[in-house]
Amino acid sequence: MIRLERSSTLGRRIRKDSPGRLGVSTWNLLEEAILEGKWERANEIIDYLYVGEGKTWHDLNNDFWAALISYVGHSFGEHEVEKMWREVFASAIFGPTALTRTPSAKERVYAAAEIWRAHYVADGQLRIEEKEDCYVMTLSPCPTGGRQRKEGRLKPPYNLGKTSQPYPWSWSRSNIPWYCTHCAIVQAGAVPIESFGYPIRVQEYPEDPEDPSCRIIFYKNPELIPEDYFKKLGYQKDPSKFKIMK
Amino acid sequence: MYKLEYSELLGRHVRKDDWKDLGVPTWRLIKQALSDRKRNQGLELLDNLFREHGCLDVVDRLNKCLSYIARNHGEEEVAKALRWWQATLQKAGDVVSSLNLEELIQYQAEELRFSFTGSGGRGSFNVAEEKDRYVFSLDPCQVGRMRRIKKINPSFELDTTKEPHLWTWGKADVPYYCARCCIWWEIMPIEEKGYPLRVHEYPDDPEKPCLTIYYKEAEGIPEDYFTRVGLNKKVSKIRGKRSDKGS
Repeated sequence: MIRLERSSTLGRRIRKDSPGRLGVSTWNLLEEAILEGKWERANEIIDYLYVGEGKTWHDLNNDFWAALISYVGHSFGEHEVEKMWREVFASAIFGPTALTRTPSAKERVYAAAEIWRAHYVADGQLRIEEKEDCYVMTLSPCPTGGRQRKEGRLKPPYNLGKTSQPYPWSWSRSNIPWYCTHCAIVQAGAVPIESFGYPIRVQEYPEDPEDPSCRIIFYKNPELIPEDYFKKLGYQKDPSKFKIMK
Repeated sequence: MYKLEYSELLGRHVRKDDWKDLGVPTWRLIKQALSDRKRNQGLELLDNLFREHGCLDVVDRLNKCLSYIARNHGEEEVAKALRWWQATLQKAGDVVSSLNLEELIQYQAEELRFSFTGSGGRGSFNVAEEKDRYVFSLDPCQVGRMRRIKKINPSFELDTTKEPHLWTWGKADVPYYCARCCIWWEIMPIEEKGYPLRVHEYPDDPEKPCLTIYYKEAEGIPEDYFTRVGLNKKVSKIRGKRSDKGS
């Protein structure tokens, strides 16, 4: 029997089962409740699974991730940020389920939407629309870097790092969180341009550094990507060098 | 309305809803299915939510970050990075050190369930209550699963320590991410409160479970768990009963 009760210390509900039951999978408990038609119980469990066991720990891990890039940047210099993200995210470009494995922008959007849902976007935070030449994903707020900005992670005591000056790997802008630069370096930037001639997607980081939103654009054909997106990453658009992603 | 269809890219089913629906969180769709008493839809979406939950490879990337630090700046920097972040979380008011034993177990069990522990990665593990302690048997834990994959497929990327360190229980060939358990839950609490919040029996053989152990009384924690991380057990320094709140 699952015991979901409020913890005054944590300020939310948590499983207060007997110790011997704490290792029973919440996924399995939810599945059982659905199979048995215990709808209210299932509803309680899904709320807990999403907020308590899901988003809480996702966000802690996401901050940890940002902390490690910040440790490297603070300790060994800002130039290390680009180097570290290139190594850590190589599999996102060249791995077996990398978005570069399909020439279809539409298929990339489906996979990317799943990634954002896995980052625990809340209701109404992720909007996707099709335009004539592209698909636009609007994250408001972005549940990773945007959440960090919104929750003060770039301020004391966390002090997660941000660019002190413009770099090609920060869309030629200063004050971009080092965490957020992985988008400029990996999916929306340098690595795919160097390998395929164009980015998997392009990104419109907000003008206001306090704005936690972000816009991600998948062009239906790489030739439609405006030249400006290449320039701010330090590259020239050269369609003669484009290779099909697959 | 959701549409689960096969994705050539991912090699499995993925939501291919109409654009206006694609950003709706899957848990919201499950709640709707529950409200409509649609059992099969609820189960199908639950299965999809579980796959979504696993698509980020978070621990794999965290281990890669720590590996980068070790490779480029030396293994001791891994320990420094981990210490820095845990100290930062404490300054920011992290609740862990203010939890009594019961709450601590409930809270950390939550993370283990989140982290794909156990058979099928569904977040399950065995808990045995003994006279003086609770023993969580993680078979495997998330990194343990990666160690098992690497045993079968040596080309699987999982960097491990080259040297034995006190912060890896005096062992070499420990994944960098595992140092987090040693530093955050053993070394730093001993330094701060006089005893580890929990101790670990890291298995040399990845086929065996990793044991996470909570002693009911801090005084009862065997001295070996202090000395193996280069610290001494000083009963006079142990602050507060484990059943007490705060420190």
